[in-house]
Amino acid sequence: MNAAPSESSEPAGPAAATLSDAARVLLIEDSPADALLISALLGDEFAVTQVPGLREGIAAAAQSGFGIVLLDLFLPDSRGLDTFAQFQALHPELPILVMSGLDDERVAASAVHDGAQDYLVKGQMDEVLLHRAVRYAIERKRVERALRDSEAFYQSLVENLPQFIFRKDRDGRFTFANRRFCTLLGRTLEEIVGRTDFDFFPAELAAKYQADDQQVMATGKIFETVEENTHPGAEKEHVQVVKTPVFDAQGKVIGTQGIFWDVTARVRGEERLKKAHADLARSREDLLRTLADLQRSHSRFKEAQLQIIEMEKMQSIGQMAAGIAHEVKNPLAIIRMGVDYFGNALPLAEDEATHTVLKDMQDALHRADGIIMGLLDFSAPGKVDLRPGELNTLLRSSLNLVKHELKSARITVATDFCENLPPALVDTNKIKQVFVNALSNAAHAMPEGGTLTVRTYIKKLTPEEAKPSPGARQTHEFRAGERVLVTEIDDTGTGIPEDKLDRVFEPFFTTKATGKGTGLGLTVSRKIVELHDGAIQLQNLAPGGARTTITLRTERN
Amino acid sequence: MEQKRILIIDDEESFTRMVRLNLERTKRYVVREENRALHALTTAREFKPDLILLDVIMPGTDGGEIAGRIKADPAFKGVPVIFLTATVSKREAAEGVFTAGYLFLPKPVGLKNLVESMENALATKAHEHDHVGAKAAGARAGIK
Repeated sequence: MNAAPSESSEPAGPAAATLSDAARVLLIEDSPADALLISALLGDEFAVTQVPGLREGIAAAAQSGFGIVLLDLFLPDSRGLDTFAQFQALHPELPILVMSGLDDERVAASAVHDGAQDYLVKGQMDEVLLHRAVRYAIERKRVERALRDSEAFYQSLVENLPQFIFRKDRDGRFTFANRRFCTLLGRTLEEIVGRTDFDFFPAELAAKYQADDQQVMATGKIFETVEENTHPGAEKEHVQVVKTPVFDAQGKVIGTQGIFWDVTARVRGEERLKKAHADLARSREDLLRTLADLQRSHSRFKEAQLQIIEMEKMQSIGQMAAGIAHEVKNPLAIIRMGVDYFGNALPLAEDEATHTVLKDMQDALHRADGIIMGLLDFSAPGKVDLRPGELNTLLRSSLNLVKHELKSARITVATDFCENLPPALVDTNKIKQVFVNALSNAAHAMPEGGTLTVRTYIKKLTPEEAKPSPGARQTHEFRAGERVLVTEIDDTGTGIPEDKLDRVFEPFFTTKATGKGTGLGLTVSRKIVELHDGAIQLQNLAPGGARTTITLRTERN
Repeated sequence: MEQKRILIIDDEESFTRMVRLNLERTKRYVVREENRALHALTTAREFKPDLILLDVIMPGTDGGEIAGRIKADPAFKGVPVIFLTATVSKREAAEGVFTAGYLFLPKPVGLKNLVESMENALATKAHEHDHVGAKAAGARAGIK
């Protein structure tokens, strides 16, 4: 970075006037009388060296450090303004006071115009005037030099910085442009100054620049932006622009100045970075989505695995059941025939105890046969013949099948059937088996009597309800918005122990006393409901008792 | 009243004995047991039954095969065959199963049910001999 101008930075040499140098005066005067007079007027304060001609004067000035030159314009070897011009050309660093006669005052004034510090008219000098003129000339030259240095400093700054710099007046006319900017526009400074943006840029762009300038002048604030320039056939360029107002000595805004530079590389870097960030964010999102998909797949996989295990269990139980059924039924057939033989062999009135024994044996046979039948139902190949059926009618006929059982247990039946239900899609006999099983279970739950409520209704499934319930083994899925037929069978019994609730559909699982249930009723029911693409669910009711909910599809599905 | 000749073919000796004792006590039937499925046809030709009770699953052969050969043999024309099976489910049993014109009775069958089914079959056979009601009998047996 350039240092600010100072005395110390000035080049050393004759021009580097010290106080003692300043006191040394080179008097170039051919008239001995005038030389004597001037020396006398300067007095002891100045050391005067007098030479009679220009040539000697130029040589003397080169020899040693003078603070000032008093130059007579009319010398034997040079006359008039040319004398000054010659000397100044060779020693521009020295302050020059020109001297003239009365009749040459005009020439002297011209010398001042060309760079002499002042002029003195011979014959009109006095000591005070001369002293003041000498000192003032020295001082003024020093200030001039400082100013020139300062100017050179700032010019160097403005011209050598790798930025484009300009100034404009209030009307948007250029008052200055640095070399770089001139090169950019392909014009000389003279061609630029006095013109506006409209002379160099497309109208749209020029209007924008002027609007920016107006804003800067109106607000008096720094304006900073990154402009995007597109040149035909070239890539987009980005330019950082800073504009500030220019104030006069009174603080009034008199124009604008601006500096701009190419930041294309930086902007492209930022864009790349931004894109990289966005890509990264997207990759992260993709990754999270993939992870979520994986987790979902994993849980589905686990669910499917559990279902397969469950199904395999069921299948092997089914195969086993068929085998057992055959092997057990043959001995049962023998016992049955045997019991019948005894029953017919004994006259009725003969022995009441024997008849009781035979009756108990027949009941036991019937029970054993029932279990085996259940096993066969369970293992029977899964096929249903689905036809439209009236749900309420099926329930009424199922209730009729268990009416004796309900009556003997003093159970009150309440029905809440929704009329005008669309037909259900059912295998009549199989679904009746499900209903009878559920009704019979409800009756078994109320050995001391109670109320059995059978309810039907139609409902549109919410997305939540359409989801398979956790752990449910469903071979199909309901759709949200699907209209389904719901049957609820409520009892006021003891309910199902909460820890047993998720096992009730398992084969051979029963909460009933020995001999009261086969442990296959709900297993078979679930299988039948699944063949209907429906759902069956058991839950405890808050005030006590349990509810069996059977969801079936309507014909329209 | 003429006693009907009943052949029971089942590999379960205790079962055929029980059926024989039960039926003979009614005095309405003469019963012959055959526990060897492979001898079933020979025994039948020799015994000339009015009705055959046939187990479905037996070692070496099965009831279906024996029934097919009986049906194909002119000597047994019009002799009803009733299957006794341990592989009928509750619903099938409740509805009464007819397959290819045969009645299937589920084991364990009660004596009352067995006798009723036999009498029905024998009565249908009598009608067929009269060449009357063959179609009705077929319909009752579920034959298309």
